[in-house]
Amino acid sequence: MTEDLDPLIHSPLRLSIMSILIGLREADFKYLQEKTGATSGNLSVQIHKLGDAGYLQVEKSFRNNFPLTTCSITEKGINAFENYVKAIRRFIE
Amino acid sequence: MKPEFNAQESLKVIDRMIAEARYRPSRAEGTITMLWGYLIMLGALGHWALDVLARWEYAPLAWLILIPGIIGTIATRMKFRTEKRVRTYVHDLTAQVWLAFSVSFVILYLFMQPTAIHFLPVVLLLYGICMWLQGALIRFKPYKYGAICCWAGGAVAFLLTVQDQLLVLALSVILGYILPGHVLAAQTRTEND
Repeated sequence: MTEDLDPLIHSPLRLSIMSILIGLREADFKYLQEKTGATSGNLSVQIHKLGDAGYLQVEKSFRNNFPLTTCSITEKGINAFENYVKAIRRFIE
Repeated sequence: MKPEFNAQESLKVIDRMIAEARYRPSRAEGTITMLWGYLIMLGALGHWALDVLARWEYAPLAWLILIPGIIGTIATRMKFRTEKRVRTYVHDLTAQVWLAFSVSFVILYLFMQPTAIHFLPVVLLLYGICMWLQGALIRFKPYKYGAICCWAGGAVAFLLTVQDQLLVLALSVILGYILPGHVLAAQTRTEND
């Protein structure tokens, strides 16, 4: 059942972030916020969790003197996402 | 208590987010294609006119018109890079295709005289490859039709004199660059409006 699913990915916002980044080289915080519709605070917390798990690489820099957070999915994140999708398929079948 | 996030909902989220993040060509890309199209057309026609009509020995200087194109492209790319909020694999691959073209062009330019009879036909064939790949990468058929025009122009150009090849180049660029560029710009405008 859903207990077998990776708890780090199995949440609507974290799954959204992973699904967006799986097809992209990288995306910044504003882009992820626009696509997910999440609040800054919530998005920041979830990105942190995925980053701490090694699923995302999070880089902080500055653009035009404004802080910029750029996220990309790691090899570990890709594997975790693929396993999650396989588990979901098994669960539905 | 939070409602359970089930497997069906997970799949829906994955589908929706992947669709949201799919690559969409920007208006800047159509603009750059058109800019290069017009400049190459003017360069080719200028070279032809100065050579055939004015009989000026420095007719190839007409290609200096490409310098604003190089500056314009760098400026547009820099602006796009500072504004860019997302980088897709399509962006990276498209850049690699045009980098490969540039390297090939420089090698051709250095080792084959630009006035050599096969220079422009080979350049047109290389353009065709780039347009075809770009059309495939961004899933935009007019670029593929443009590639076919460039290949056809390249094939015809092999049979012509260097002067006539310039006219074929101008025509190929109108059909292969400028028209697809306008279609892309119109399409991105409609999608953005």
